[in-house]
Amino acid sequence: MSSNRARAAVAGVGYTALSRRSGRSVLSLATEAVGNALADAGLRPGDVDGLASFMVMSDSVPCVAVSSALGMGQLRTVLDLQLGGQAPCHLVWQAAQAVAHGDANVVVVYRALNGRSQQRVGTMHFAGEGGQYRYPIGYDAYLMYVAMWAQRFLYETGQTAEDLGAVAVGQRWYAQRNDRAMRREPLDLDAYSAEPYVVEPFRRSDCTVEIDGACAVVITSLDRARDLPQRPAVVASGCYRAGAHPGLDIGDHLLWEDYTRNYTSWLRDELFARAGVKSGDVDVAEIYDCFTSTVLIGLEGLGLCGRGESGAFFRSGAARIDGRLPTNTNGGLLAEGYLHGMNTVAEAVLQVQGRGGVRQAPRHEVAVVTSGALMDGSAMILTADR
Amino acid sequence: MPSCPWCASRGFETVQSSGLGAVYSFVTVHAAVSAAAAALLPYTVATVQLDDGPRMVGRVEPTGQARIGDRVRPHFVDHPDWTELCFEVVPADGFAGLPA
Repeated sequence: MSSNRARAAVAGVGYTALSRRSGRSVLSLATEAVGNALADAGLRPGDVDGLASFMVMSDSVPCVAVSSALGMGQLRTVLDLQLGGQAPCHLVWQAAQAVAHGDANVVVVYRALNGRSQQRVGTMHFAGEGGQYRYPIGYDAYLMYVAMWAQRFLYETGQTAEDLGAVAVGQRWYAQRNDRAMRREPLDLDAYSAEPYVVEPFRRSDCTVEIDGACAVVITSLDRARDLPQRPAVVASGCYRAGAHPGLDIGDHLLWEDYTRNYTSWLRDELFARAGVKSGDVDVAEIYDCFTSTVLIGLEGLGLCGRGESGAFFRSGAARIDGRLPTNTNGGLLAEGYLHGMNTVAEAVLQVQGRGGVRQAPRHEVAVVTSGALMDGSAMILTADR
Repeated sequence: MPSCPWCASRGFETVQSSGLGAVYSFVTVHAAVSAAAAALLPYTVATVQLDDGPRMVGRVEPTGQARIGDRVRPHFVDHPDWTELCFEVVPADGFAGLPA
């Protein structure tokens, strides 16, 4: 284990209100979330010397814009990635590495977008040569690509649409206990099964809800975090992985061999080994869930459930707050809203810090978070300061 | 693709494919994104594992008939400016019926 000076922690989180129409610029959302995260951490814009963010088809604002708007001093490190939900854990890990190597003292990672009222990722056409084979034939939305994987995954692992429904139902229970969540109405399996299909096998509640909003987290050294107001959430490990043949864009899966395994299968060993923990040590899981199937594939990919056992994991109540492994405790992207997994990371931080309120997992020493759905993505392990 | 995704060769040759294959996975779309696709609702799109090696995506007609593992054969649909490669399910006895 490296020295505390070389280790990094998340010291604060910040959100804007989440809505279907913010009526504000993305820069305004970004600055508010970053400012809120800094206030939560007991820091000021002048303390920040690193920023990191990501955008899809230029739907957000670059780091220098946020630095300018908040009157920060010199930035010593910056990352503006053209990535979607694959990015949050990767960026937090890069921020932690920058802090550990002395390239920055305080880095804020944010995601901001008017993802409902302006550019909607769910229906946008991605740039590049891949789309020419999909868009003319009406195979032209991200949920269709994830549904294509889901159908094969269910078939090959012997699971059913009811297993997808169990995810939606299980996560909605948490959403009812989350003031930020966009979908808080009760959901049971009967109500789920009565919903019409959007793209079979997905019904409405299998899909995330697109929103306007922003979320940010603050990373600094563990030593410094110990002097700040919130308990540190130690960044124990992080990994990015693109499997072989990840395609020409985030919707091009034609060269991907196995639709039943995503990037989580390929980064698992490195992720846990680097953190020095085993899958059985995990107390809380926040698994990227733009759609229900990605939770099942992620839990199996990380080895938190056996092959074909993730649906039963939800149906048995193991994902509940009193279960073996509380999972997606904010209601996930399915119910809290689609901030492309930045809010998934923030929820993991709150859980590890013990700030989950009425949805706080009873054991919260070790949390695993993932970012991304298909060919590439990232993951992270956060631990309490111990 | 400017080069082969398996060996990075930039050499190409054109080969004729039977277009026969099997359904690797499929979705049935009930809510369309584009206006053109809305006219087709509901429609099924499959990832087809071609016997000749690659995978393709294409609509499968009739809608809702495809299952994973089903044998399919190509079926061309003419549009005003282009021809679409669709697939149709080949019945288990291998006889798909005569064209109407």
